[in-house]
Amino acid sequence: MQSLTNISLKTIVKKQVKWEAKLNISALSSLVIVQIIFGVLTSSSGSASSGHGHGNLDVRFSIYSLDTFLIVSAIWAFIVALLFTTKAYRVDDLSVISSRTSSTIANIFVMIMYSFIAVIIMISTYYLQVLGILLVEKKSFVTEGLFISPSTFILCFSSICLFGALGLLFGTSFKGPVVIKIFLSTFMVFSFIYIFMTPNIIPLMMLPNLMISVLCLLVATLCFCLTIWIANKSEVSRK
Amino acid sequence: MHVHLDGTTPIYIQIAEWLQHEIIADRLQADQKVYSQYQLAELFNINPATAGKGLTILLEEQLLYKKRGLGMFVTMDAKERILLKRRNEILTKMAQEIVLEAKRLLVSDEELLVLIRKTQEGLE
Amino acid sequence: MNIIQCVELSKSFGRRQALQRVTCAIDAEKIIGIIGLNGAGKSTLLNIFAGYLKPTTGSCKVFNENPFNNIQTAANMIFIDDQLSFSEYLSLEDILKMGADFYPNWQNELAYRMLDYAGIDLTAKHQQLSKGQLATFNLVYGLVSRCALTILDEPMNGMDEVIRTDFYRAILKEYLAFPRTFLITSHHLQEMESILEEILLIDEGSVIAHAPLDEFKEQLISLSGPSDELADLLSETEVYAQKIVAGMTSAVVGASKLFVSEEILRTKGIKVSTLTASEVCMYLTNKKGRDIDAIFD
Repeated sequence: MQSLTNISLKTIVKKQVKWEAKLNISALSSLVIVQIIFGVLTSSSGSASSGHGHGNLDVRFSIYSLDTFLIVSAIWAFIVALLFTTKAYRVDDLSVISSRTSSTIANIFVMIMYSFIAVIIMISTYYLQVLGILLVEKKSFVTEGLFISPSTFILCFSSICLFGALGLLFGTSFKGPVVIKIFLSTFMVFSFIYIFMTPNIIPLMMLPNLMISVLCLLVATLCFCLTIWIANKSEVSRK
Repeated sequence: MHVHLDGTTPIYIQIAEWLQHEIIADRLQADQKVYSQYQLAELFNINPATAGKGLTILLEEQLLYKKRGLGMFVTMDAKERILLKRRNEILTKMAQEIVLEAKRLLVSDEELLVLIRKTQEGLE
Repeated sequence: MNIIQCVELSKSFGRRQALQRVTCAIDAEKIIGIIGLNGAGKSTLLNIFAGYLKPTTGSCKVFNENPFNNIQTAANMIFIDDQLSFSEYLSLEDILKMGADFYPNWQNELAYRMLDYAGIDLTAKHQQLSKGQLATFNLVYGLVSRCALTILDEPMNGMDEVIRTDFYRAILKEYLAFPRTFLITSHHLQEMESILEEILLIDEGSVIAHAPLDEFKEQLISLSGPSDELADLLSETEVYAQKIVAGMTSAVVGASKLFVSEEILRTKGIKVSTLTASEVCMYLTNKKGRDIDAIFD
């Protein structure tokens, strides 16, 4: 009898990450395009207020910020993650050595990598926008705030990551056993209601960036673990 | 190949018959190495296990012998044994069928013997 | 040595029972035909072997481990059917590169030669192939990966007849070059019969026969002759089919309970003939008394 092949989960996950990251590069280019479109749309207005000064001094100012870009990126991450759990992707995985565990872990790694790249794309488009406004509108600029601190960077990364994690969990839970499906969808609905209904969320927003980041990453990790757990229990339906 | 594998006779029997035929025709001679089950599998496009079964039949009838690690070889008197066996088995069976058919067609014993003799003369 | 061992394996989808208490063992390095009507449970069984589905009750061991979601099973097993799919961003050549990256026994050069032989353009995408080309490519992918357990579910569907013959031979040659276990299902048993070592026949979720091909074929025989001479014989054995036309009866019976020498049969004018494997399958899986003629009476 010929000897059997012994391959560790780690080796397979590495290979899957390599191929998946390479094959889904178009997801990143779609983010670039969406960001640029939003950049152009928001550059004329800015995201915030104009105001009046005292007397006859009329001050108009616009604040251009990362907020819009972050929201767009988060939505993008959620959709990409959801796509990773669709049938087409899952069936493709079966054509090479893989298990539900290895595929899910690979998806998670790719999602984390993409989140990181997404932050860089986001910041670059933000600078591009600023540069564009500077050149086209020739307005005077308060450059304060143009420097993006590491804590902002981490905040952006962790929140995009969180939305990616939610997407993976959401997509995966619909392939799992019925009990998990019911439990998870109820849980999600209730937690969304809770977040939007209670005033507790406001003080949460006031926390320092780093605290929010840690919180986001914690929840994301929880989602990743749940995703792996559910995927391990799921059967593969191919037809 | 010259053997057409039909669907009704078991393949391993056809393989055994083909090998016997090769021995009778002197294409496989005494003490010559015969095809391995893998060569037969490749030759006839059949599963090697089936080919092995064909070889085993010949081994059991002592038409082949095994040399450890070298394969199977044709025994000294394989050809004579085959001819003798065919004579016994096949001719007996054919004679039986002829006699039965003659009975059915109401041919008398004498007539049948005459017919056989005539056929022999015709061939000579 | 067994590479697959199933004990009392059952699988149901909701109320529908797809497999019922299947107990079977698959030896290493054999080519085995999995035969059964559509919906008999062949695919379900293969999907459990592959680790895609979980048994409802009973156990299944592949390479001595539970195959479900098992990376070691996946590393030594490949499942080829018409559902095999690849990312739309890959050309066939890239797919081969990916296969080589994952499967340690991968034969890239052989893949190139076989696809060239079949006239398949390597710059094409998997999604662009015709049905026959798709089946050919998938089969080549399965062969060159050289996995200890190679499952081919209807591998020749949609292929031209000439190519089919070629590729049955390709399977055999690959098996001779690198022995491994092949589980093959097909609607064309006749075509692949000669390369099989064993047959596993599934009917209504149960394994009703598992034997070497010749033994499988020899379990039934066909008798034909005068009805009065046959009547006694038929009462002693299990009759699978029977037809009487103008005083002559022809019947398919179980061979194991028939203790009559060929000579006696011959003197009675009864002709004995063997059946092909697909005929045996047909008679074994036929519901008792099922007869298309009955509909028109």
